[in-house]
Order: sequence, then C-alpha cells, then structure tokens
Amino acid sequence: MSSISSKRLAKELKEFHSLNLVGVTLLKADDFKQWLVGIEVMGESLFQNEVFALRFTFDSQYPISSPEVVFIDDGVHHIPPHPHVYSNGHICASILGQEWSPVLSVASVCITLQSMLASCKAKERPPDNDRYVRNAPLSPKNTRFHYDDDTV
Amino acid sequence: MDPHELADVTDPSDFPLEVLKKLDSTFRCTICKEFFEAPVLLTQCGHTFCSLCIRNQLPNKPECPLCKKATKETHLVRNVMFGEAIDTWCKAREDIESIPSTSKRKLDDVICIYNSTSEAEEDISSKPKKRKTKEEVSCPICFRHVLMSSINSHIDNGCKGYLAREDPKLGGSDKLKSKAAWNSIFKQDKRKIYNSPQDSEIPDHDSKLPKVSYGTLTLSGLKTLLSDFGLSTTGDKDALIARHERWIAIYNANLDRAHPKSLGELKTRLEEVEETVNRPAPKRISDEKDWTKKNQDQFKSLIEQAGNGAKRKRGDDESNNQNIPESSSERSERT
Repeated sequence: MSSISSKRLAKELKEFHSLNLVGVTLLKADDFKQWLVGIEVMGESLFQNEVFALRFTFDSQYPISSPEVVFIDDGVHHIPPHPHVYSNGHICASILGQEWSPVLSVASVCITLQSMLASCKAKERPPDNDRYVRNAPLSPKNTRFHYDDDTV
Repeated sequence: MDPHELADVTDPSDFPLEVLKKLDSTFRCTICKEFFEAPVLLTQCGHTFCSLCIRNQLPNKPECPLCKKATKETHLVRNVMFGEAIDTWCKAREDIESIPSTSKRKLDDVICIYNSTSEAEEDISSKPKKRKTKEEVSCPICFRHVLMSSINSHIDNGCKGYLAREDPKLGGSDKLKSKAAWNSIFKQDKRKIYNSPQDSEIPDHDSKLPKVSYGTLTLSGLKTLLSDFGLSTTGDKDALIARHERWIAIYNANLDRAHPKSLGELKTRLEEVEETVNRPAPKRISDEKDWTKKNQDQFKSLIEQAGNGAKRKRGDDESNNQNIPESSSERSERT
C-alpha cells in the first residue's frame, strides 16, 4: 500500500484536483494502477469540441519507469486521427518513451498531448499505420519508436 | 480505492496560503514528491533530489531529470544545509498546522500581510480546530499510536517519530514533546531494536560502495558479495544482481543522510522494496479471442449465476434492481 508509486500517485491525484486543468478531466482513478483521463483541445484546432480518452497504466516502478499511455476507443470516445497516433491508440511521443523523466506527471503528459493535438495540421494516420498496427506489441512501451518530427 | 490512502498524504495543498504552498513544494523532491530524504546536489546543473530517487533513476539515464544535463553518480554531493532547512521546515510545518484557535489573532496578522481575502482567513481558522484534537490513532502502516494531529508528518517521515506514546509510563502531552525532543538527540535509542552487532553498525559517511561489473562475476562470487552484508542469497543470478544493485543504491543513499541509519534498518528497507517490486504482475491476456474461447464455458456459467442472482434479488428488493444487471455483466467480463 505504501509503495513509492502509490504514494506518488496519491499526491498527483490531490494535485490534479487542485490544478483544475482546462480541458483535462479525470474519468476514472479508482486505484493506483490504471487511470482514465479525458482530454479536449481548447480554442481553435482541427479537434474542436472533441473529447478523447487516455488510459494511463502505472507499474510498481513509477515514476522511475514511464507510464503506459494510450488513446482508447470505448464507444463514447474515439482515437484521434493524428500523424503521431496509430489507429490502435498507441502514441508516438518521445516523452512517453526515451525522453520520459520521473519529474513528469500525469498532468504534464496530458498537457503535452493536448498541445500535440492542438498543433495538428492534418487529420491523418501515421504513414506506416497499417504495418505498425499489424505487428504492434500490446503495450506501446515495448515499441521502439523512431522520433523524427519535432514540429508537431 | 481506500479513502484512507488519500487521507494519509500530506502535500503542499495542505496550506491555504499561496506562499506557504510554494515554500512547501520547494522542500519536496520532484521525483517522489515527498520531503527530500538525504538531499543530494547534482553538481553539473545544481538541481537537488533525494539521494535514493536519483540513484534509482541514473542507471536508466545518466542525466538530470529536470534539465537533462548529463551527469553521473560520482557527481552527486550531499546537500547538507538544504537538509537542515528541510528538517526545520518539517518541524515548523507541524506547528503552523496545529496552531490552536486561541492564537488565531497572530495568525490573522500573518494573513493580513500575505493575503487579505476573507476566503483564506476562513480556511485557516477552520483547519486548526479540526486538527487540534488530541485523539490518538493507530498508524495504518506501522500500527503504532500517533496523535491525530501529527499522523501526516509521522507517515511522511517514514513512520519515525511523532509517536503518541512510546513508553506507556509517559502520559501527558508535554512529556511526549520533551520525550520526542530527547529522542531526536539520542537517536541511538531506536537503533537498539537491532541486536545483532553487525546490523547495529552505522556506516561511515565516506565509505561508499563501488559499482560492480556483474558480467565478470560468478554466481558464487555474487553470493559472497551479498553474504558479506548478511543479505539473502536466494534466487537466480538476475535476482541476485538486482538485489545487489538495490542494496548499493540504498546503502550509498544512506550515506547522504545527516544521520545515516544502521545496516539493520537498511536491510529492512531492502526487503520492503523487494516485496513491492516482486509482487506478481497481473496476468495480461495475450490473445483475446483465444482466451474468450478457452473460458467460454466459465463465462456462460458465471453470467447464468449472476442472472439468477439478479432475478432473485430483484424479487427481494425492487428499489435495488437497477445496478444489478450492470455489476453482473462487469463481473463476467473481468473473469
């Protein structure tokens, strides 16, 4: 119960409530293993008035090890068509892989992904979407992404 | 989620005043969000982390988690003064939180200086009343008796100190305080728990353990390394290596404390960490279709059972029937 990861997540949960981020809502956080967060891009963008759901999965090594973050399609929410988001919900973002740092948090990941969606120029899938989705591992943490685009 | 899990957590939002919130958060490690434990300075960039936090992180990535500047374990230096500042703040925090309502006048003055909104005044005056209670509660982690008002600090401190009564002979609250004060001076008292002469040994500040290149070691060599410190030698080679790596991190981090703990305490810590890490991970279903096929019969019987139960209950209690079908389907999915 008092493992480092659950202690840290308890604090994040408290912080999350006091931060009151615009366009970021906690959909489900019943335990310290998996959270669902709704994110919406505010202001003018291709994704105006669309709400997407992110699933965070934490292991016992969090925050030393990164959380697994994917977009989910649960009927209500769908997976955003974005050049860095595969149709199975996996996200190609360096901060979720190589560039993860333990000082990042659920809130900071949400803000980053919000801005990733906001700066989207065309609603399309990554060029290698079909190939990747066919062979994708269950968790995007097992994928070695090649981060080649700094603009979005 | 157990609501108590959240109630135990202290964090900067405990304070209604913005400045105090900020002050409180500067005393917390950005990795674990707890008050710094044995703070160390990264000499390449000047950022500070808990010794153990950064020692766990650096093997993954040899850079500062905050500014990404390259660094190494050998660049870590004890941040002595900052450690003292944190200790002092932790004590002051206790007092600020438990200012009784009789001295509200003084507090009002403080608020006038920092913040003149009436909202803050209300907040701060209502809080101490709630926390003033001298009620004793048993700590959910160590089960010892702690005053309700100091349970947060007790847990934050890793279940050390702030005990309501360590010795049943001592009763009154000022006696408690003086006892706590004496305890902090004669810390040896606590170390007596560990009787073995080796375990009670307190390592020297400058005796950092070197890193080991495990590739060149045989299994028996590894076992001697572990048994030199009286550590368990069970498990395969990978488990032994992981244990020794953790031990080095815990051991070296301990040396960054103002008052290093005894080897016995470190061993308990290692066991605790191993326990949380080695807890079997929940099984992941690799092939959903296959899994569904294999367990179809079980699903069916469970759904049937749940359906029967739901029908029966619906007969019993009309008002409850709305959530029964929902929960039963959920259950069948989970199995």
